[in-house]
Amino acid sequence: MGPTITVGIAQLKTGKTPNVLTTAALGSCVGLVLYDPASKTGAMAHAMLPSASFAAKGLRANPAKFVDSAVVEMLKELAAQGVRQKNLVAKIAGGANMFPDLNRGQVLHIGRRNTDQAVMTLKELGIPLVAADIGKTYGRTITLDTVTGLLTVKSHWHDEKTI
Amino acid sequence: MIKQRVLIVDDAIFMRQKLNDIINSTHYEVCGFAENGIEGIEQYKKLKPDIVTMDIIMPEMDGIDAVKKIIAHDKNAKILMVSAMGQQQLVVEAIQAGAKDFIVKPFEPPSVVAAIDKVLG
Repeated sequence: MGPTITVGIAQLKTGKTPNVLTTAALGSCVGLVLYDPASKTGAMAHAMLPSASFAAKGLRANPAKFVDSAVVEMLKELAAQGVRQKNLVAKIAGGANMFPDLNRGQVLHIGRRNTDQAVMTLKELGIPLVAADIGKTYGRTITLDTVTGLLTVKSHWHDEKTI
Repeated sequence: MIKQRVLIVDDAIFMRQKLNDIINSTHYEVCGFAENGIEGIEQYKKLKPDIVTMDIIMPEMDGIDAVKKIIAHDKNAKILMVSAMGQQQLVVEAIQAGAKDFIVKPFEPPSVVAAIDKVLG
């Protein structure tokens, strides 16, 4: 594996083979990954909330903070690197319900709302969702190997998996 | 030119008819129908379609279980889920089970054809 690029909370970054993209502490946040197998280029975002419409009016929103705007921004950054949108596939992870005792209903279940938004935004943009590891009640750390396109999902309480 | 064949699995007759009309007006042809997951598996084995359109919520056996069983029978099966708004979690389950993509009801004919093109492409 090549050098590791760390994606912080409410950030997005791109990387090209042999870089590795990683983001930690995905609780209810969702890790969004776009990958072009042809150019072996990827992008990763760590989004906190479903939609940029959540942003306070009048404030300039950080696009990486929101699922819908993060995907659009990732597309822009990948396009600037010559990646063709039609080559891209998507993977998502996270969206856990970190406080199940509090979130028995849907209203506060931000994790589910994040992953629901991710599925719909990817559909609207025509990017196939090829793998996912979402929900449950535990945090995740994800790592994208741009050489292979494989996404590794780690958590403290469960076996590592590759999707 | 031999048309690629589509199996439609949906419990709603209206939806089967709508998909049939859309698909048969294109470079694909409908080769069969099923009304639930169990029938869908049987028809898949019998007809060997190039692609399946699979509803999610159906009686007897739902679309997700049907995807699992079809993929267990043929790991190269191409299945397009037909979902409704608000079924994103079920769509993810279906993709984890091996479905290739999904469309959302209500859909426009071009989106159905584009999704089939993409899965078979």
